[in-house]
Amino acid sequence: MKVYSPETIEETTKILGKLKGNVHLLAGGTDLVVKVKEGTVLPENLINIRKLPLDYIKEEGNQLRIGALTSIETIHRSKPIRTYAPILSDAAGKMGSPQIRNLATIGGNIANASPAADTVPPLFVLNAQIVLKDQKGSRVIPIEKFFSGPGENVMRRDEILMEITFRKCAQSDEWFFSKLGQRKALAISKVSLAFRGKVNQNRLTDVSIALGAVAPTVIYAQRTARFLESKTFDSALIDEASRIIQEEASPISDIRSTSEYRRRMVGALLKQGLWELKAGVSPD
Amino acid sequence: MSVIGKSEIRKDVRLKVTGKAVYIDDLSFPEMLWVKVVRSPLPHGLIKRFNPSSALAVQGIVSVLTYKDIPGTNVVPIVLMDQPLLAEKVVRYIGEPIALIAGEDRQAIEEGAREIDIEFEKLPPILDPLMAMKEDSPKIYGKDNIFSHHRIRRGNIRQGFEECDLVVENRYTTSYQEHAYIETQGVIAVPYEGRMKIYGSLQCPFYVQHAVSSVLGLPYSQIEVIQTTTGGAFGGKEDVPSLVASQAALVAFHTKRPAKLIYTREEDVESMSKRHPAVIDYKSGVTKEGYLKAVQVKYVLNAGAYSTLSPIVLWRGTVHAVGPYKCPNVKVDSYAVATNTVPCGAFRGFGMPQITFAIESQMDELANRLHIDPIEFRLRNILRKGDRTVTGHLIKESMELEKTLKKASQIGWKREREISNGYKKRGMGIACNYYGVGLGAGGRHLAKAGAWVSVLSDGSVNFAVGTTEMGQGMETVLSQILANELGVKYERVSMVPTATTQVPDSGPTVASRATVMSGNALIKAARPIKKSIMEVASKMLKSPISKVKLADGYATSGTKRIGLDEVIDKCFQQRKIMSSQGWYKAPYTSWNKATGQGKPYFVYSTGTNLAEVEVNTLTGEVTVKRIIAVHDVGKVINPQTAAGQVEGGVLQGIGYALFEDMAPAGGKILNTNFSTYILPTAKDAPEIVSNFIEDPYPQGPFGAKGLGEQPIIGVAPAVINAIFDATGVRIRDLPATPEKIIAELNSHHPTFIPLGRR
Repeated sequence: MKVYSPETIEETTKILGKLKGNVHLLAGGTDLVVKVKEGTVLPENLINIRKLPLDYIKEEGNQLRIGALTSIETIHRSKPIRTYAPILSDAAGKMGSPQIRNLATIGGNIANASPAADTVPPLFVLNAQIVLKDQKGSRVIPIEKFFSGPGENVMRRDEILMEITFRKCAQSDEWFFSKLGQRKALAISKVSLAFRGKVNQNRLTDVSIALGAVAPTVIYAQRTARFLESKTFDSALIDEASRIIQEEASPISDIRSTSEYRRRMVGALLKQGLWELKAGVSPD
Repeated sequence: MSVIGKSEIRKDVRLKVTGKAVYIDDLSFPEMLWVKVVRSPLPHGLIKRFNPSSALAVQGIVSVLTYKDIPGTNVVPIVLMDQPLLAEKVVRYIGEPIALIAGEDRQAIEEGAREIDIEFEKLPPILDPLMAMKEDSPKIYGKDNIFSHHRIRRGNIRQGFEECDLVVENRYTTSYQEHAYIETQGVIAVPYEGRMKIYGSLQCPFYVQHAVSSVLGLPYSQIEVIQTTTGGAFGGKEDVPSLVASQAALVAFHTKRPAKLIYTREEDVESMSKRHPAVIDYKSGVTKEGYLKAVQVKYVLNAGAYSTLSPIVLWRGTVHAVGPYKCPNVKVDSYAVATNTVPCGAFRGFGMPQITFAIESQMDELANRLHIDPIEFRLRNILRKGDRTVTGHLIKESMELEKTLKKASQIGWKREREISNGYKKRGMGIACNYYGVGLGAGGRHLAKAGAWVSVLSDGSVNFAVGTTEMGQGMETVLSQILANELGVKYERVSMVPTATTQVPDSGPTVASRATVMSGNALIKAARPIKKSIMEVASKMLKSPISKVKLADGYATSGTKRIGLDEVIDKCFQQRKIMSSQGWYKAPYTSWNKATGQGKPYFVYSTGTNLAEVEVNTLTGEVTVKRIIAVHDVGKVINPQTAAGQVEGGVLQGIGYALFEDMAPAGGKILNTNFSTYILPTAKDAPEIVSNFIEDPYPQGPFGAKGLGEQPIIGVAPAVINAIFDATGVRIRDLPATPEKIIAELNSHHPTFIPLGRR
């Protein structure tokens, strides 16, 4: 295994451009190091990108820009993110443990392309853009186009993930992020759900819902979102939406849960979140 | 002032919290080799070819050993002598050791292991114990696949059930539980002038001594076992280190070099012992007044491929199979069954968490169906002094289960439930248990302990015992007992690391026995020394011996006092005996194998756990809000250590109840590390209220009984009963995962309305 530790973006893309054989980028290492230990990844070339100047959160007008090497804990605590993308801060705080959040980066969480990645459903409902770079230049990809399967993304082997950008949320936006893990912390999501929308005169508008861990990639629940916008926001609407959303998921059974439970939980998480959104009213 | 009952600072705490404690992997010896175990990838198969030549060609590989290289006997001696150290022709579980590779460093042995060439012929595996028990099943052990069978026969079971107004019958099943000690198995074997020294993370040095002796064909006297700081054990380092140590010792024997063997987490989880999965068919009957009349139990343990400690684990579960209750008509049959799975063994509670889950679920269901409060129902049936257990044991002393039940209820049992918040339902559950302290009649020949005490001329004190510190606090508790006995300050007392050369074979450190056994042995060892000190102090104080008291570093008589250091110095000048051995033999126990009647244990600890939970009925998630744990332990020697034992046991019990699930596929354990084997974290921990009832046990040191295992035993049923109370759903298959709870909530089985919400 060859290890490179470039200090600039240019140096990095240059190395990436000329390397033969497999290449892995090391950011926080919380996914990669585990895979190397388990033997599922045997890197021929390892590029340690931790020295690159990609650890930042910037406000530019109505945009937020997050450098790929920003740690999950920094995102969780960041004031601009708490103010303008509270759903992302909330999801970041529910990921892993303090030790993992301190090491793991948002770029790594995205590039690792796990359908259970906790920052991704919020980034879906934030309509985030992913900025990639190679020797020749940059390209921007909407987050929902970034993933091509479990553990797979559209990055070319000579590209590096630079930053994530999205528009600030309005104060009037309603949101929730719910995740079910096997325990209350240090748990990979069995199911996660990110919701964003507005409530206007007892109607939901601008609804966006993303689901984690119930399909090969994180997905939008578009049918459910449109349905929720179609009628009065009441308990009948919630019940029907939580039925429809189960049809949008295509979960599998694995070591963490069953497909049956996951499908049901997609509905349960939506129901629970919408009830609480409707002034903490509960069904009984 | 007495040192007993004081929260003295733990002896081991400073080294451990500063990271300076020396664990086995921190140790090295000159010329040391590294060892790796080559294991079976199949649950059942024949070894057709074994070719080590390409492994031996790897740079740094020094030796590859198989069963053919064993100079003694190829058996890990535990109970039934059925387990080979290294497989010969047949492999019987995934992870079974076949060969040992020794090399100059870790990289070499990893590479060597990949190069080993073994060809197997697959044999059909038996993975399910109930299948294995069928007459027409293939046989992997004896003529019936049964390692061990125990029974209890009392009264007339048929007539008993006829007299009942209500009979409830259910099947309960439980999963494996992994010990999850922080430090994995590890040993270094050091050949030294014809002898073999074993350093290791272990619970039972004398077991290791006997195993290594048998494998190497050397007398016990040539095997010296020294325990290193042990990072958790919970029963997982009871019999198993015998295997690990024999592997390292075999390499050291042949290469004449120190050999280090440290298991990875994955191989540790895959191949080491665990809590047995159980299948329990439980039928109990009561009169309408709420008195238990008849209990019939079939208790089956999946023992795995070799018997290890299963016969004894099964025996303890059998003895306690009715719980701490009176019942005139009892029929219990229990079986430890061979399958092509990892051998199970000792784990805190030792066959009792499984059966107690069934017992206390049944008690809860009976109470609910009789419309009797579950506490009141238990009060009608519990054992008190003067009662006989279902094995016919007349309880004469130290049995205060009733006080634990009343205390727990007083602290937290609410008849009026807090109004549940919509889909989040609150509930409370209760479970009682008792636990026979020590090895009992099942291990009578081992029920002994030695101790050595030496008071030095500067007034400091060393002692040695044959039981071990593994994080449970024994060193601290025994230091307090000895300090109190000699009247010296606690700080002046220290324990030397446990080793087979210090004291005679004292049996294993298991069965919550160390406080009683080693504590009593220490008190006996201290006697002649105390006599020396008293005689000299009496002269120095010019006071009759009967008036002299030793406490807190002083000898006193009325208002006169003198520092003990001065007295001890004088003792040495006068060449008094200041070092001595002690020996303690456990009180009488008995067992009739045919009827299951007798006095199986000399005393029982008892306890009550009360759980308060919140169940999210949308997601099936259970949050344990509070556990109230009240234990009758005779006498608490160190309150903080005792509370620590309870808190750890409660968390382990919550893991057993809700999270820890190991469902192997085709005999292969899929979750071999802690990212997939789910232990509770601090975020899952409830408020824990621990409380102790002290009803002194006259034969115990200062009245103490055992506590170590008690705390885990009743936690799972209390939690499961609370889930029922909250939701009306009764989970009979541990762990109670959200998946199971949601499936039950959405099924249309008729369920009973919990008493609390009637």
